[in-house]
Amino acid sequence: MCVIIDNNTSSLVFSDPPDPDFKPVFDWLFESKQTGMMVIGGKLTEELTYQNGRRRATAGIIARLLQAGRVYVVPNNTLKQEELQMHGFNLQCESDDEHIIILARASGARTLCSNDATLHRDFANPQLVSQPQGKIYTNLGRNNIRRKPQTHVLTHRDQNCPWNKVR
Amino acid sequence: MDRIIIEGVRCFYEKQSVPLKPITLLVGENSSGKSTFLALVRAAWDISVAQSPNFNEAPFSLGAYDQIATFRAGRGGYAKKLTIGAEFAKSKDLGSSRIGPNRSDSLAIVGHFVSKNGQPVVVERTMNTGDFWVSISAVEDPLILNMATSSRSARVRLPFYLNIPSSKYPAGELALITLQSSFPDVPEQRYFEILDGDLSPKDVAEIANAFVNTGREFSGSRPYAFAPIRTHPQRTYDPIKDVPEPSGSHVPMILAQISLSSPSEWDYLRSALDKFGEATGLFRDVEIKRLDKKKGSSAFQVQIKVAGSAFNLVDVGYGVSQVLPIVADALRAEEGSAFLLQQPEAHLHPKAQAELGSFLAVLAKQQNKQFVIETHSDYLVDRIRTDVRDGKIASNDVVILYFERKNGEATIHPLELDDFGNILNAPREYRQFFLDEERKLLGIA
Repeated sequence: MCVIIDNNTSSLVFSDPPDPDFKPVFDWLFESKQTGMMVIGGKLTEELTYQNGRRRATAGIIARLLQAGRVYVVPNNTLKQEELQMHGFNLQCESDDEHIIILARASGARTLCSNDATLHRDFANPQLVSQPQGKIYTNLGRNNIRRKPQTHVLTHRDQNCPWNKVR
Repeated sequence: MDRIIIEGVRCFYEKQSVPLKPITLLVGENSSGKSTFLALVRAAWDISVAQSPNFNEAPFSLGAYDQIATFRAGRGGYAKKLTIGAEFAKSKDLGSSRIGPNRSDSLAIVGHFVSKNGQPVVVERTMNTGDFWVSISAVEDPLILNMATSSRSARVRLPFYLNIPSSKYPAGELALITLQSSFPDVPEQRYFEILDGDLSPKDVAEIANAFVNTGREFSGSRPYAFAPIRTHPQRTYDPIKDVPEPSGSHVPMILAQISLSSPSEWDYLRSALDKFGEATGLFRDVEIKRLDKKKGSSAFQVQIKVAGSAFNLVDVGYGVSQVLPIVADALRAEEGSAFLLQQPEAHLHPKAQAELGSFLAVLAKQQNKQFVIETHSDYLVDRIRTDVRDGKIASNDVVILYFERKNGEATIHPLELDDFGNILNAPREYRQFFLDEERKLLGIA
C-alpha cells in the first residue's frame, strides 16, 4: 500500500521519463487503476524537495500527489516521538538512514524504494521494522509487476499504513 | 446543519447523505452538481423550518419539476419523487424521556416532493429525533400526523393550529407546537384527536415536545447564498436600497450606512477589512467618501488605499470588488450564520485565494459560522489543509466533498482530513486529471 522512496532513487522514479526500472513505481502512484500511496516526513521531505537550498523538480510532483491524497505527510513531532522510543529500546541502525527507519515505524509503511544495500539490511531487519516485515523494491528485473503481480512488493498490504486506518 | 439528504434530484439519483462541517469545500468538474448541491442546502433549511423552498430564488435557478427531478433515459423517465432534507447533530446528551430513550442529540427533517402542475410540491415531511418519529402529510386537511416510538405508534388528527407566530428553528412548526401546547389530561384543551394506535395523549404531547425542544437547540439562520459573479463596482453610489442581494450590490450601501450611523461597528469592520486586505495584498484601507455633504446628498464613493493615496473601487483590481461583498457580509453576520459561496476566489491572485481560505477558517472557528464553498481553487483548499495541520482549525471542522460524475449521475465523496491535513480517503479518481496532465507534461505515456 504505502512506499517510502529514498532520496537515492527519487530521481529515478520521478525523472523525465522515469528510469525503466522504476517506472512501475511511478505508474503505481500515478495511475487511477493502481493503488500506490507514498509516505514522507521530516528529513526525507527536505531531501526530496530541496537540495542545497534550491527547490527540486520532484517537489512539484510530490505536491501534486499530496493534493490528490496519495502522499501522507507524517508530522515532525510524531517522528521525534518514534525516534525517542527507538533510542529508548537501544535499537541501532547499520546505515546512516535512521530517518527512513523511523518514518517506516511511525507511518506503518513497509515498502522501500532504495539503492542503498546497508539500508536494505536495516529495513529488512525485523528488530527495526516488523509487523509486517519490510520489503524492498530495487529494480524491474527482480520485481516485475506484470510477471508476478501476486507477490510483487508493491501490492502487499501494510496493515498499519495511515490510510488503512480509515479504509 | 450537519448533514444533507438528497435523492432523485438532478444528477443525484441515488440517495446520498452528505456531511456538512463549519468549512465544507465542494470540488469537482463542471456540471457535477456542486451548484445544485448549494441550492439544496438552502432548500433543506427551508424544509426544516416548515417553509416551502423556492428552487428558483436567486442566485439559483433549478427550474420546474422536470428540470429538478433526475431524468433517466429509457423506462426510467423522471424521478417520481424528490427527497431533500437536513440533519442537525450535537454531542450533548439531554437524558431520557419518560416513554423512551430520547437522546435528542440529533434531528433529521426530510421533505418529499412530487410534481403538481409541473412544480415540485411537498407532500410529506418526516422527522426523527432519538427514538421518536413523526411524519406530517402536507396534503391532508385536517392535518394527520403519524407519530411513533421504537415500539408504539399512533395516527393523530389536528383540526386546527394555535394562532401563534411561526418559529424559525428546525421542527419549530405550528403543528408540533400546537401538540406540545396541549393539555393531554384535559379533553377540552387537548387540541388533537388520536385516530388509532397505542400512544396515549400524554405520549403524543411528549413526542411533540421532544421535537420542538430539540429543534430549539439547533436554532440558526437561513444560509445566505452569494452569486458566482458579484456586482460590478460603481464609481459613485447613490443609495437606493440596502436589501441583501446575492450579487453583493447591497454591500457598499451597508458600509456607508455603518460608517455614518455606527462608529464603533465601523471601526471593527474597517479594521477587520484592512487586516484581510493586508494579508491578501489586495488593499490597506477601505474608506467611504461622501460627496456634496452640504447639499444633503447621500451619494458616496468607496475608496481603496492600496499603497499611498486612495483610489476609487473601480480603479483598483477587479478582484477587490469581487471579494469585498463576501468578506464584508461574512464579518457582519451574526455568530452561527451560514453562507453558500460559489467560486469566492474569482479574479483573485493565488496569494489572496489562499488567504481567503484562512480568513473563512478563522470565522468558522472563532464565530461559529458555517461556509459551504464551491471552489476550483487549489490554493484555497491547500491553505485550509495547512491551517488544519497548524491547528488553526480542527480537522473535524473541515470536509472536502468531491463530486464525481459518471454516466450522467453524480456521487459525492466526503474526504476526511486527519489532524495533519492529510486526506485520508480520497478515491483514486480524485484529481486524476491533474496527475494525468503532469504525466503528459513530462512526456510519459
